[in-house]
Amino acid sequence: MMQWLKQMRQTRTPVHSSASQQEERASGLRISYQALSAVQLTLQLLLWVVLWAYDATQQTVWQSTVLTAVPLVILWLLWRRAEAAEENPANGWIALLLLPCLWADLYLMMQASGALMYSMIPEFPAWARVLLLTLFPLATLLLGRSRGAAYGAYTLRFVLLGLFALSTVLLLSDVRVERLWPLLGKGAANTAFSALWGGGAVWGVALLFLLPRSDRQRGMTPAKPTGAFFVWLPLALCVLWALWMAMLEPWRPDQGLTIGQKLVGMSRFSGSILIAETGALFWMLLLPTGMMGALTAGNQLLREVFPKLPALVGALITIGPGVVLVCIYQTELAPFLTDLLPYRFALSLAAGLLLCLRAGKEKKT
Amino acid sequence: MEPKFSRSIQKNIQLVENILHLDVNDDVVVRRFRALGQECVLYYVEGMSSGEQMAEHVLRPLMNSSLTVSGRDAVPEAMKDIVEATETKLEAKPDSAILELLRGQCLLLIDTCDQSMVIDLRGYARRSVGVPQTENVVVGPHEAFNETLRDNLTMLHRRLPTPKFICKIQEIGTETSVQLAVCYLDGVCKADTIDKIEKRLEGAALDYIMTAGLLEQLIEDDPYAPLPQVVGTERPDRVVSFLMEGQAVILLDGSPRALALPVGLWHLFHAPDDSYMRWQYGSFMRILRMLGALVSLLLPAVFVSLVIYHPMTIPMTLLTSIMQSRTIVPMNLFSESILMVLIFNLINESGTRIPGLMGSSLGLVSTLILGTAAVDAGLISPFLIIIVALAGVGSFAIPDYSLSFALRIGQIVMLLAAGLMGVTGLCYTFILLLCWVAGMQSLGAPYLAPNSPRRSHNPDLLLRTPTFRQRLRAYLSAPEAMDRARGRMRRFGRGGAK
Repeated sequence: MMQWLKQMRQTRTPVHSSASQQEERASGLRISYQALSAVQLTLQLLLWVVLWAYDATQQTVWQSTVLTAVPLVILWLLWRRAEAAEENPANGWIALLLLPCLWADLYLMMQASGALMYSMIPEFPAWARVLLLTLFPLATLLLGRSRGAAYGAYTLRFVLLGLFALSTVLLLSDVRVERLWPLLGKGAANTAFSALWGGGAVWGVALLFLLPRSDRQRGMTPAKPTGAFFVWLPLALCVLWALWMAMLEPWRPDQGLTIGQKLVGMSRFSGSILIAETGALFWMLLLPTGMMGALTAGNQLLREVFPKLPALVGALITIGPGVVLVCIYQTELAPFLTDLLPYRFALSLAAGLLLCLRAGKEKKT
Repeated sequence: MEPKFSRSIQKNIQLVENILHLDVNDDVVVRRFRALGQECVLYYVEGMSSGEQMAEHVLRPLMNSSLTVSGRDAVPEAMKDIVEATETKLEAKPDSAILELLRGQCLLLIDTCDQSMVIDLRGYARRSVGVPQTENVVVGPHEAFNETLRDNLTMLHRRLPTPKFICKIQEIGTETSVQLAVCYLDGVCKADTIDKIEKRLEGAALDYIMTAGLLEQLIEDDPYAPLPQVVGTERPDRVVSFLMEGQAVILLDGSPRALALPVGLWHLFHAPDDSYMRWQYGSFMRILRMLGALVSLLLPAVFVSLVIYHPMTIPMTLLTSIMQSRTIVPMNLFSESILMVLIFNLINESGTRIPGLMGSSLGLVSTLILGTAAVDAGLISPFLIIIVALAGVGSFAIPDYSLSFALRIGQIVMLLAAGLMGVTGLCYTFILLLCWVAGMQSLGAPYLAPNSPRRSHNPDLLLRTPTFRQRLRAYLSAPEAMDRARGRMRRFGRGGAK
């Protein structure tokens, strides 16, 4: 403890050689990308909780989120084993299996952003919303180059955590602990099924191991695998959000809330209007950061397999399907999306298994 | 083939006259005389060399010498035994010799010798060491660089009497060359930092690089980026602190501004005052500056977006006051705010350009006429004047001149985003600017380092840490020189001096 305090006072372990400096650089880069991926993972989990997992009648959302740890652990253990193979650029094509997951994520985030904009400024025309949601991530990716999104997300980590706290624990709302019962929710089987349904949202654990890609191509020293903090933090935040949703007075299905209203729904229960507005601010910072994460991931995965692909083209391939769907379904989600989202888990599992098999083969040879 | 001096003084005179266009150029003085048994000629640019010193240390010794020399040894002998100047050198190439002549040195040619002597007797008028114009401090030194490279290097040598202090002097400019010096501390600055700088300087292919500002745009990583990737300073003490932190500094002859690189965003918030006062005061001022930067960038945009799109977030009493003050204003808030910001910047620019005697008139015009009268006439609302003024004050608190400009431009961008798209547009634009800045580099070092990505570093970055806690150098320095001190820095004991 004293050693930790001493180190905190002196800001990190000093580096005294070029080799340790290189390691520190690689580690810093890796942690930044992990922060970006963790933001995307957190966002997907929160969107699942808010838009699908919340059950107004039973208020059993928190049990499902806790059980989401099961698919999370499965993917985490699998991708840890797959890490040896995914460092080999020749296996980059396997990671392209995750491209549909990124398409789905981006569409979901764009639709949620558009809906939030619409709920705050209904006069904003639809075409302007679509234009903003397309141009903003593209411009950010191109201007930020390969690392801007990761470093930007890492810079915002405490701001996002602070806003999260203001949206949940510090909401100054009338929470009732008795609403957390029954402990098993809708019954063990139903709750477990709901958790598996939410497993689609945890597919992003793969990105914690995959990114960054471009530096590996340049032959830079890969960082050592980092711990489980960025894996478990998103789940912990998601469980905390679900707990607060469960403890508040529920909103009824007949209230007909839009997506935008659902996202900031919890803030309605705050005792302070300023804190209530931070709920909207939280989503307004989280959603674009999550979009940046998905776009960066897609761009990097594509350019690893097709090195000559321009960054703009890679970004357009990643964001294209989302833009099309947002143009068609302007304020509500595409009806088929709900059925497709859980399959993200399957794709992540398949990619991880393939890489594990390749890792085994490479080890033998 | 590059021309060389010949052994015939007539040919050499002809060569020099052709290069310098002496048939029309009256600025170069030609002094022909006999000395050492030979015909000699001395060239110098009028006003750039000291005539008195020339007469005393060159002409008189040569003319009074009884030595007779000829052949290739004529000039070297004269240099060794007769000429009394401290700095002399032999030069066989007319182009190089004339370049030195045009820089204020004297050129001596002696018949039968194919070499010239360049004698440093510079005595041109130059500005003395003055006070900084853009980096004022309350406590601390008040010296500033001037336009003479030699004087600036002298100031640095006085502050850094160490053999590790290296000054590499070279020339830059494809047509008209200018001298510059790349300064660093050997062992503290990384070798690859110097290599990168030299490579970039080699690649700067402009005909004449007049100022450090031009050089900055030629060597920085991204000239289209919103923020500077090089810190310019006119203070020698600040340059020394950069050198001690492992950064390199470029000084250009003719420019009183030194360029330090690589740098990060946090360096732009540092002021020399921070180091000259107690750490508590320095920390307080840095927090104020960062708040000032945020206020400058975001306050007008937040005000506009909340009033236009999200009025329910503003407390009712305040909202009522704002709306009442706007009832007679003919413009919408968005147009009014853009106009006010532009007018503020116009007044600021006028204040910079206006001659000193008329400065008070400008204050009168801007305060009385544009401010008070415009509010009384109902053209603008008083709330907006306060908001714009606060934002302007916030930008003036920034020590780095380039960053204050960047904030004022960013203010307009954020205002446009907020006015068109409310808080949503504000957040998206903020994320875009953040990612853009985060992706910037300065000589390959990430711009937001050592926070993002994290690096081990001197804790004197965001806040002014106590001196005795600053055991490390900046993350930019060579790793082998990372430690600044070993053991305790306050060694006199806890109870007081022993």
